[in-house]
Amino acid sequence: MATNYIAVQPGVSGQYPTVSLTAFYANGVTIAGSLTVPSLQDITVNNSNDVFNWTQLNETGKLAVATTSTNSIATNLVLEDLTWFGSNITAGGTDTAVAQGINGLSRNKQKCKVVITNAIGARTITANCYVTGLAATVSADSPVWLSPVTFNVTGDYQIS
Amino acid sequence: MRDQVLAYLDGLDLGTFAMSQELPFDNAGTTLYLKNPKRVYVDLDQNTTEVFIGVMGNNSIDMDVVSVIVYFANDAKNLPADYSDTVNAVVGAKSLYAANGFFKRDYLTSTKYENDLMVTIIELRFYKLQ
Repeated sequence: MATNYIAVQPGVSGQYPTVSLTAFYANGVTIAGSLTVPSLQDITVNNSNDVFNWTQLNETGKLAVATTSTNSIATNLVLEDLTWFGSNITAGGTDTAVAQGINGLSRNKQKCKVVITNAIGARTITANCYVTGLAATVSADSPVWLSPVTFNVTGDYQIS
Repeated sequence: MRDQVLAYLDGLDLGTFAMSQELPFDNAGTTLYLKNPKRVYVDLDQNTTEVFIGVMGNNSIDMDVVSVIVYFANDAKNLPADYSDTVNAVVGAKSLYAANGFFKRDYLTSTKYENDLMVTIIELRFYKLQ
């Protein structure tokens, strides 16, 4: 039986995952203009169902049923000034994702739409999320600013 | 970096060892540090580029590694009294700064025997981001 694995080709256009962010207005309408997140080192798409367990007298093992899930997308990236701080460092919640930057989207607690293209093959994964988990770091023997970024998903993923 | 290493070592007192401005090999392939024991020779820079941080796109962050090898030979049976001092002086060159700045420096020392001579090989490595 043939085994088909899913490989990426970093550096080859269209052959590696890319992440873009679009901000929402408070009324749920997207603010036109999406931010493409460059220099991603890795992407992890997390999906974890909560499970409700119970016991029955006629069963030796606990029974379980999945309930709601916790979803998030975790990445590590190399910081780039414009993408991190945005084109306007004082941008607020009604400004575009490009203007706010990743740091601004987190600071403003902005609801966003995250789209991963070429995700796990040729799929596209879309979700609404909040940007969290920033931890920009640099050290003497790793003199490049790096940071984890977590896109905490509200609701489910849409996969196409 | 060869010029900087040479200039640095020229300014030091190497005891019974002397500095040579020549490369370690002549065009006939003669190994000059074997022909002239107790003379310190500095080879040409060897440059390599490595990926320092790989990213999904085509803009990985690369790192240049400059390697400078220093050779000298002495009697294999009777080690010169100032041998250790000379080795310490040469490895001190790893602390040299370049205009662009190195974020990492290291060295590797090794010895080998050629007939009745002991050859000391010190590789100085300097790392900087492109």
